[in-house]
Amino acid sequence: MLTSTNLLPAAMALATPIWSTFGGANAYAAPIQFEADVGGHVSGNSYSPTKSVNDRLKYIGSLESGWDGHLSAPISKISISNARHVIALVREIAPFEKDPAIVPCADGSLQIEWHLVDSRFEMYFENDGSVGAWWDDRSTGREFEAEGTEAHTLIGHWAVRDAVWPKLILAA
Amino acid sequence: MEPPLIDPLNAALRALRDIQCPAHIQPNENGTAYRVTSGAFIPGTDGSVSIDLEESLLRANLEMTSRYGHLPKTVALVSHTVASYKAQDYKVIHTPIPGNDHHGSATTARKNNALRRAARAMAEQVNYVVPIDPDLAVALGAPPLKHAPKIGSGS
Repeated sequence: MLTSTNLLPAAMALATPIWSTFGGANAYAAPIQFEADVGGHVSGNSYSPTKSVNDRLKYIGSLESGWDGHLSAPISKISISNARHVIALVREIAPFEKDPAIVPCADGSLQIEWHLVDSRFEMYFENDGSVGAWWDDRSTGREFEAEGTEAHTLIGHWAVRDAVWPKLILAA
Repeated sequence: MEPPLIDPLNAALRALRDIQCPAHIQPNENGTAYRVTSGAFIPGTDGSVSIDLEESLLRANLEMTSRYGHLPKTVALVSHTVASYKAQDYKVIHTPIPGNDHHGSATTARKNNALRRAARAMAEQVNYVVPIDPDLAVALGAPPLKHAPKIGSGS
């Protein structure tokens, strides 16, 4: 089980150096344009997974053997549990314009994907509980991959840099 | 009688994959179109991605779309050449199954992030044989596009 002990503190501790490493305030000069359904995501103090995330996870949990053809497996409970936890933790760190895509895979694993204009971040939840992550930073042309604990750190880096809140501060 | 196995496969011909909805499509970053996710190219429990083989269909004088829609939530048919799969370390073989003589398997020894990297490359290289119909996608449960192109707008 992934816990806040290995994701949230890492992200928070890294927030300041990451902020400066990635260009500080100048990196977020453009104010963000909100979609109509964003308000509920960035207001209030409780960032639990949204109804759409929960509905999506429920749907994925209902997939039966053969859902994707020959020898595709139901999605493992540990993958779903870990994904739910990471989504909730990311929402605690920083709000995003939209929920991640939650993608089932034929081997029973699961991946979550934030594909944004400036970056793409994907996190992979394997059946054995292991995790991986990939960050395509389109603003710099750099890509990062990580597994295990380093994947948790990577998502913390990305969330702190690419979340809505620093853009909101600068737009104010 | 079992169909004759095609071996070796012509690397220039295509492997066809049905895309499931809403499992394997998502709106792109601008919400203007759907994209196929890399999850569509993660192997199943036997370590293989299920595909249909153009070479087998051609030998049987069948259209590329003749097997399309055999799964209930199919929203698109995409193709790669066999060579494209090989370039990402997938091995493509002809593996007929009951009810589908044209079935193939794309197997790979890659695991974890190396596998995800290969799957991302495949997702970025898809060629549509049957493109995604946005209305069908929504009907099957995909998130609606937020900025769908206006048909007939003249701009």
